[in-house]
Amino acid sequence: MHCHHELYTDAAALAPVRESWRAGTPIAWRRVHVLPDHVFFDHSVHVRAGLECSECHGAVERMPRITQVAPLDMGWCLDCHRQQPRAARLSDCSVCHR
Amino acid sequence: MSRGRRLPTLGTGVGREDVREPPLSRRSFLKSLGATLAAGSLSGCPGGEPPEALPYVVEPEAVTPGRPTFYATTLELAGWGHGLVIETHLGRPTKVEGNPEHPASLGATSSQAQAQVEALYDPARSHAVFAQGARASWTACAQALAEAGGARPGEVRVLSEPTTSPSLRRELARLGEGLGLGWHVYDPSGREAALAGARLAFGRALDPVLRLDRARVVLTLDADPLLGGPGSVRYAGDLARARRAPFAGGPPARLYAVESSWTLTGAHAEHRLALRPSQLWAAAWALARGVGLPGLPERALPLEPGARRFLELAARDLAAHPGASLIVAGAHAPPALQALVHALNARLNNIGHTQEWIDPVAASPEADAACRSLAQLRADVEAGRVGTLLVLGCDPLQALPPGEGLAELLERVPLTLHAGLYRDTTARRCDWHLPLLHGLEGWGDARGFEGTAGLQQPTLAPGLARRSALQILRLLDDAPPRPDLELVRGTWRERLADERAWHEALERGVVAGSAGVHQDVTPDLARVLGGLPAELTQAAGLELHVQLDRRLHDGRFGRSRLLQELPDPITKLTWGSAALLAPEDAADRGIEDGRLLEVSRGGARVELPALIQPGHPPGVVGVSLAHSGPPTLPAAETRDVQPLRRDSADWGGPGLGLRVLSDTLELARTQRHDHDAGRELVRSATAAALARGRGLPSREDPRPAQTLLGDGARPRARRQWGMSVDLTACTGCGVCVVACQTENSIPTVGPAEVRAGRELHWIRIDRYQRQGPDGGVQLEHQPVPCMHCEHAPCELVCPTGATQHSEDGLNAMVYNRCIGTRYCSNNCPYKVRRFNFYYYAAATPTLANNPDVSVRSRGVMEKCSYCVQRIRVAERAARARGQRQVVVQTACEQACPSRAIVFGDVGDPDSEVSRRKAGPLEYALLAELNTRPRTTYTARVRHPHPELGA
Repeated sequence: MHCHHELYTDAAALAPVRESWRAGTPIAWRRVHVLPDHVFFDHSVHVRAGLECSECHGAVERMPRITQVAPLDMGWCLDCHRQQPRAARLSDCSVCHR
Repeated sequence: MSRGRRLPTLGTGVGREDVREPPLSRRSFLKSLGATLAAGSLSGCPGGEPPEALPYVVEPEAVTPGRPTFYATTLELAGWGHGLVIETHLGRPTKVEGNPEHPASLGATSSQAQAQVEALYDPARSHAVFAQGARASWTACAQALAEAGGARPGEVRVLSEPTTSPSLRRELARLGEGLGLGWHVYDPSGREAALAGARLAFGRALDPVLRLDRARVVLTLDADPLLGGPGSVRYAGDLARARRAPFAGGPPARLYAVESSWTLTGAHAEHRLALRPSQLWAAAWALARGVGLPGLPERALPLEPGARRFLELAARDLAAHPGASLIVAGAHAPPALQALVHALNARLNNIGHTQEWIDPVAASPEADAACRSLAQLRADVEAGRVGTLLVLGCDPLQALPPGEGLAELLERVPLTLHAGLYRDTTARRCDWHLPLLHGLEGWGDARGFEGTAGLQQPTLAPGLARRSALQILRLLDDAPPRPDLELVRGTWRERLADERAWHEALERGVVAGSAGVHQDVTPDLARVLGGLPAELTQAAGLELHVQLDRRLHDGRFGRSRLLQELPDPITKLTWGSAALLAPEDAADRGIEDGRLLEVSRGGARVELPALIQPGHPPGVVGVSLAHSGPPTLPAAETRDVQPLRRDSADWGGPGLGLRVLSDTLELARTQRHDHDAGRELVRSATAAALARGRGLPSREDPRPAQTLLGDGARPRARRQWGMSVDLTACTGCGVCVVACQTENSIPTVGPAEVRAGRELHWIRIDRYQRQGPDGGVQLEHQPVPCMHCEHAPCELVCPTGATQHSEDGLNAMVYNRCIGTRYCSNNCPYKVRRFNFYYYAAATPTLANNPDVSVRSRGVMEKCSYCVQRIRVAERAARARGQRQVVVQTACEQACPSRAIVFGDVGDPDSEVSRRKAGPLEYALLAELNTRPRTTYTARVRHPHPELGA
């Protein structure tokens, strides 16, 4: 529930969330952003580095249905990493693959 | 939910035991290839339907998906508390570490503790109540007990092994008062003899606590304080501190070992004397004479002149260090011999200095009025005084020799119940079997070898119909149900009165100030002398010597695939057991390694493969109690040696027959060569030479260093990782191997694949023999992980760039690029790369896998990564906190009892690893190849007795 304890408590769109809370069964969300199992991605370092959520996930607030906007493949990751200053470049294989 | 990571695989998985599949025909190969491609195009990413995401409905506090949570706990292993810290991911334990706050651990662990996560998820574990072999329920069991419960008081009995759990003892005491319950205890590890020896010397049963860190000279008499005992993890650390450079408090401690088979302590000793079991008394006598024990009767000692001189010099050395020497006798040596050794330690003023005595920690009939012995149970069953018998948490039919008559005893009791983790041999002979919770699933407590109590807290919600030992005991008197937490808190109500004290004890994992207190005792010399044998004779013919197994203890850990595949530190044998023979005996009889022998004693015959072990005393056949295996292991791979023992106090002796059979069994050993071919792989120096300012002789190659890799062209990150292994501290125990396996989800491969040389251990411990200065065989151990060469030969030859050098000095594997040419392994001079010939990972329960590491598929090369997952997590954590310094412990380093391994930033001159690498004893393995390894070794320092052939 999180915020929805307080906000939009009777919104129709949130009925499944309230139902899940009441019944104690999790909502089976469909994944949109999927990384393969051999990629280890850490959100926290990217958030801490000042990256906006929208830079990878797009303008979620304007999406009626969430879609993947970035390819999320290795070339796309490296395109961004290679533009970083040397210390933050982190383009070693073992940064993401272990 | 998080799950073990898997790479896409070609073809199917494999069975649990036999990882070899039937050979594929061309047709079926193409078919499976087509199927895999089709499946790939369906489930490949993107395009396929990804699995659904199921979030928590109510998110638990302090759980962040992707971040581990750590719990301090204490597990009772073979009766003794081991202080541990358990890493859990989303409520699922994945890794065991030592608890730095626990005195029996100091942050390190034993191999057996490392294997506990595997045990927790073992699919062969018992999961249901069984009555007469059929599925039943707890209610039915309670009913059966109630029906039998009308019996007279005192008819209900419990049989268990020694326990150090205060809560379990409290519950047993409650039943003793209410129900007149009789509690019988047997000890399969032979500790009863140690308590009897203490009673003989001091008038009461006491437990010894060794202070090896204070000792300058130590002699062991068929004892192995460094491995397998309740305090071994601590002792290995203490001794390493007393032996490693720089030698602040004088020269390093000197170690002598007198023994009838190899022990790890013997392998680590400066001087070792191999004797027959029947000569041990003579050895103790010679020491007593050398130390000058007053009133010692004169006896002719059946010892060769060499042995006599060894013992004389050792005794003189011990006597020259009063208060700083120590003699340790094996726990299962005859009580009178142990009492003699106590008297010698008192004579050497060691009691209170290098050896302390505390009140017995574990419940045992020798020490405790509350428990009775197995012999008493036998007598009571004979007399018809036992109506119900609960065998609690042990498997006495396996742990005791058949001569103890347990099977007949169980048959004569009207109602028998067995509570255990497995439906084992005893379970199948009892009317009822009750599935027991694993220590990682429930509440409890246990004391360590020196008395410190620790709380056991669950790290996983208990599933299925299992119950704890505390709950099962409450079934006996139909007591009102109480949760385990309440029972354990009840035990500690006085000690940990308020909420704060309880929570502090939970968080730290130990109850502060609960260690045993040294009792100032002096041995009664007259009684000790009175117990000495009238004459000392050496037995003729072959003698048997039985040891607890270095990996499987008394066989109880035999179901662990990790421990079965851990090579024995001495023989490098995995999976199963063998009969150890001296090379002389084998040559006389024309026996080669692996030849099957029929070993007979007292009417029992056992077939065992021969293993010729230099340094083993002639005339002695050595066996260990490695007699069980996982249920899927072929029966031919396990050999039960228990029938050779008369009773549980029988650890060998004369009267052994040996017949050489015509068949052979190929031994599954991981190292078949004994010598380093003059390459000086393990380098060593003597403390005397170091004191004269002479370090290691230089082995510098006069030729200019050559490499195919250009120098200095690589970008270098600020941090540069490296490792140093101190060979003086390393005992070769093998904990690092198991710790590495559990951290990196390294599968086991089974005996057939080990025979083919396909074990997957990322760190191995090489073992070499050399001739000691005293003429005896010495063993040298050397852990070998990936060297992370700066000029890595493997990187040059990979056609796909699957092995790469990182900017911070790691030689990394990119599994998805690997196509399995194995060129890298061919070009690696250290042979540390491992290849997945089959999909071995399929045999590991997925839940036990580390979610931070990829699971490797078939056809992929793998090797030590310096625990890169830990490095990356530590780097991010340091960055988040704004710290410059990144502290990383690799799994092997963290688990090592003797702190032999140090890992860190070699670019930082103040790091411990840099300081070690700057030392005069540091050397690189095969440095002449100019591979510039990041893993280096600190040469072994020995401190031999100058007169013992130096």
